[in-house]
Amino acid sequence: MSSVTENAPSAANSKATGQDFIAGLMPLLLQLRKLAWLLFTVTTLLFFLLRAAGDPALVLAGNDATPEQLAAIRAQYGLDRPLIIQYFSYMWNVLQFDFGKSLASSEPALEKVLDMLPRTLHLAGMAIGFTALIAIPLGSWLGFKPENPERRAVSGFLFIMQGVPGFVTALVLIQVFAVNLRLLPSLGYEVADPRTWILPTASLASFLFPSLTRVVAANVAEAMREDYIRTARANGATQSELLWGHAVPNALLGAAALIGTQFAFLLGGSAIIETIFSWPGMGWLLLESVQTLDFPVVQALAFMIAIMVFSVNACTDLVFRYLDPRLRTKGA
Amino acid sequence: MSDVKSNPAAIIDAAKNEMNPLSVQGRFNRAKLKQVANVEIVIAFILFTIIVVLALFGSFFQTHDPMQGDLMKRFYKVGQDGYILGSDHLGRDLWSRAVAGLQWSMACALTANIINLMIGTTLGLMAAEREGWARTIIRQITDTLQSFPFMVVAIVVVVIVGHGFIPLVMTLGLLSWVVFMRVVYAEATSIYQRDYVKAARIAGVNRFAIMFGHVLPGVRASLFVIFAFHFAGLLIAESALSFLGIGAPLGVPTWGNMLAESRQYLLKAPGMLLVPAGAIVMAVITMNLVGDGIASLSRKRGRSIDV
Amino acid sequence: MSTNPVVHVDNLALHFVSADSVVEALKGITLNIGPGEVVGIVGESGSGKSVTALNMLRLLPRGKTKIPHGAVSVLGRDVLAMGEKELQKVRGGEVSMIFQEPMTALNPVLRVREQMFDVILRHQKITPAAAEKLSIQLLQDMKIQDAERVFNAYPHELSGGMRQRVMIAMAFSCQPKLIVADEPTTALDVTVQAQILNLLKERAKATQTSVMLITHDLAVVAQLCDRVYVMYKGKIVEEGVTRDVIGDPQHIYTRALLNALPEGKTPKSRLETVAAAMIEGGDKVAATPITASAQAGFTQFGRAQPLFEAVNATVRYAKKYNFFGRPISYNTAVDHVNLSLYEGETLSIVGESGCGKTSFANSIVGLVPLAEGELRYKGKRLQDHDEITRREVQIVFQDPQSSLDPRWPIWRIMTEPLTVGKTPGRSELRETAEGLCQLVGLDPRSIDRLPHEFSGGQRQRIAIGRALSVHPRLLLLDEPTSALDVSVQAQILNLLLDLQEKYQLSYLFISHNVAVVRHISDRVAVMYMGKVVESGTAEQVLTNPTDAYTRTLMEAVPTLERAFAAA
Repeated sequence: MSSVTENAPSAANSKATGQDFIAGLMPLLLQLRKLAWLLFTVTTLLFFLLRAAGDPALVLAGNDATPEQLAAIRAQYGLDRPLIIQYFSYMWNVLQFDFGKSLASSEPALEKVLDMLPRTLHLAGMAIGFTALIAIPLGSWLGFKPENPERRAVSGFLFIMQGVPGFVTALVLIQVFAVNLRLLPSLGYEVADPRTWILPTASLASFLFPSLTRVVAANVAEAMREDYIRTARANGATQSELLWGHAVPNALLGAAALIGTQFAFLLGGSAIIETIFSWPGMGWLLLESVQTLDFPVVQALAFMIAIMVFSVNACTDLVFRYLDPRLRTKGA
Repeated sequence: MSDVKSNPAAIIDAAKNEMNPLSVQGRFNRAKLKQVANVEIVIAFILFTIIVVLALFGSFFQTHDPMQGDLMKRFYKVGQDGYILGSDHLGRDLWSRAVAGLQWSMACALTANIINLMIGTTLGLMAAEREGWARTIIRQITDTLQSFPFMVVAIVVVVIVGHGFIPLVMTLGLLSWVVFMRVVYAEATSIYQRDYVKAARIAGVNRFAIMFGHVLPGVRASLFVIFAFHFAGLLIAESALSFLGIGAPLGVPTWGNMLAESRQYLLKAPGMLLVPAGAIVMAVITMNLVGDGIASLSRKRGRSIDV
Repeated sequence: MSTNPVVHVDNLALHFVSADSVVEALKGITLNIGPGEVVGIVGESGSGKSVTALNMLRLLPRGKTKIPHGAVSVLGRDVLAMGEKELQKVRGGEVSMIFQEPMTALNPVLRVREQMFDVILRHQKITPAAAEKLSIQLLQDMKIQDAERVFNAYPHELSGGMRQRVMIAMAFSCQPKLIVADEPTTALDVTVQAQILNLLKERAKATQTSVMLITHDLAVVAQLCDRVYVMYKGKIVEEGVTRDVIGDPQHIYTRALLNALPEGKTPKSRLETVAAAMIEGGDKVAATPITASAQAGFTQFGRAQPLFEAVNATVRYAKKYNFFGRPISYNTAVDHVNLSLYEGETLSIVGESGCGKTSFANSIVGLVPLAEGELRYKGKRLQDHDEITRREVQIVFQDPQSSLDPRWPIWRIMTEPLTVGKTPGRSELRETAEGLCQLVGLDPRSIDRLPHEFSGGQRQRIAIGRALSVHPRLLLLDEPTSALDVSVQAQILNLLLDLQEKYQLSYLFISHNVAVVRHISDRVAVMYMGKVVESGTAEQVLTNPTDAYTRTLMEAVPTLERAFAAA
């Protein structure tokens, strides 16, 4: 750190040589390695788990198929080969993004999943936007002076909100707004009708909103105790400059690591919310296909979800690496 | 003294500690109880006691057989004819069913939570102790589990392994220990870097003696806190899975099943929704309160005991 | 003193209040600072000096403090009566502050540019272009050569010393009448400290700014301040012109504080402790005379076989990893160090942060592996000894907070090493702990207490007791006193000297504090960037250094003697 060579310029302005280029790619390579490992594990585990669960031939043929029909189907789908061979041929297909055809509708499984993707993203996007819009200002306000009586009351309310599971919120919202007040439709998804979006979005947002607000509040409160806040106060900064200029940016950068896990949590929640509201997204499809033992679709879904969570994580990582000066220059 | 920062909060704390260094010392006494007992902790304690009593001696409080309905007494209102919280579409007592649901959920969440605690703590300690293949593998597994929405994993696995108490508990128990592992790993890693652990290592103290003498007691407070919060999470997960029709077997009186049944009678009998919904919310809030309470207690202790 | 003081604090009392307690932090203090005057406020932790500083700008949380009586006026205006709006104009404008921790005092997500603009544009009506020019000028005034780069850098890209220069530049940016500097160099290395203090003094003289310097270090006061106030437990016990106060202290606390300093005392003599002086109210000014056996310590080297030897000891840390996680480049923390230590002597390793002295200590006790070379104990490689012999080498760490398990009673802490390989009974261990307590000067009845019930100095005694439990021959002392107040430091040094005399212990004493090293060592090795640049007897190395770095280091150390010689 500090030594006699005080005035020497730091190594920050190094030239871009070939070695640096490779070093710059390192984080990307490491991320890709992680993704590959993740997809491999997920696909492998699911393959054996699903095979342990039931015979796909039985599902295809139906319950009252004759042994001859079953044998024919096995031969047709290659299910008569040893399991390990099936596994390798399956993995080979997965490498080419071929998950086989849906057992229910004989569409390609991946296509079926990709059809659902935009709707899930739509719902998740709305919920995240809604949450961020409220959680950040509210959390900052709460964290600025956590001891105030009115802010403590709001915190208490958030604490109770946090105890209400999202699917319970969804049911209560349906009860109130769809059944009792008849203001909003209780289920279904119409691209053109924003009224169908409101309840699902509110329900899904209720998964995130209370906990996220509390995290922002805690981070802001912590940032307010930092030394640089004291410095800024000693320099004559006003209360709002302290909060918005100093504490909040630091607090939000600190909360960044949370985004990835919260997104995974949100996708899990959307499986339930989509089912409740018959919102034809990936979560809805997951329950449908899992219950009908539509293995190829489940596999494709798991694959896609893993990729989605991973890329959200990687992207936030990248964005915050860019936004947070400490990470930016530190590099790998 | 050079290392006390001239931060106002730190100064005040330091000043108070100097004045009253023994404030936390001593066994339970009234003064100490007064000091720690705030409103939230009192509420948490009362609610928690109620839940424990209902879970242990539920049948004593049930007014009806939770499984047995009377089709002549469908959709009774609150308090009507001895049905404390009314009856459902088959004429079964909602109160008794809610109590039965509590027993089911508690048993399920508690068992799963204990499994989680054991797996997560063991793996966390192993990974924290030293670098090596064990740490690499454990962290890799944790990362994989974590980069997957738990609900999605649970849905797939539960459907495959089948309905029932044991499959549900095993699914929740074997797949949701990540939070334990992560917290234990983080805290244990920092404890392993403390000078008192170094001193023990230098003195040649056995690695298990260090692990169980210094490290595990150091993470114990956090373990209690996570145990409570995670308990709430497991209650939610269990009822969500049952609600989706893939957790508890159909017909068993659980909160999730009750909620699922209520959906067709929203207009006719809002109580069928509100009773189990209220039960879940109360249980979850109680566990969250307990977690918060333990956290604030250990913070209070920690202010004078730990660094 | 001038008739129009910049600061006038009159009989000020300040209490910290909470629901269950009231702590009297200041008990009626009165002080004045004239225009252009540099005034030191010196005291140990808990004396109320930082509270005084923070209260100048009302930076303490209002809800938690109460001011029963007294007044603070800055430039003739009553600070205590000001509203938040008015205070904001004063803060950073007429009065500015410099804090202790340069690593955390700047906002990590804003560049120096934004943070300087923040102050300048708030208090001055100038264009951003003019503000930039002014900022760079200010940074250049702080002898920063590449001011442009620093101006556009983020705090984490700058060293601690550089950040403190930026803080000082910011403090001077709005031509304040007063600068309050709260331990501005405590977190820095001596060589950097010397530069920063000189800059602060220079700029204050050049701009005729008054400075209120809060510090625990009497030598810094002597070097910098025109006048000094000595604080003890919330009161000002002595004030006056620096030279008079330090040269001829009137109050027993000031006297005791000066006597507790190792500087200028006979090496290895026992230092007088503040506690003893305050309790006995005695007038013992002279340090106790040097003992015969301590004298003997000087003549001990030159024996045939050293107790401990380092031969080409080298420690490396991996710096970069390749794709497969294998290290591809290293930082060398300890670079081919050769040292030897004889029975009953003290060898000190002096150096600044990052010089490798702690890595070296860690390698001796096996916490870090050696990359090259070897460590010999009693002629055999350390790792070839059995467990019991290896345990004759023990360590005492710097931070008494982290070196004791907060959940263990101290009898368990002190006897933990004895439980290795066997399980002695509880009563046996407790008995041993009582004995160890007596040995290190603690009350044997306190063995059931937890570490948080002890002060920093007492904890350090516990740590020493633990090391002694296995009858060590060699103690590694890694900055054992640098987290302690001067008076407590004196107690610990006395204890170490007593123990050495009693048991003929060998010490490897690691420190950045030259005065302490001079006091306790027989021989000294100076480390710089992983290498031993100079070694020899304490007298020779510390008084007549031959190496260029050692000379720089010695010149940078603030001493009372030099301060008065210069004045």
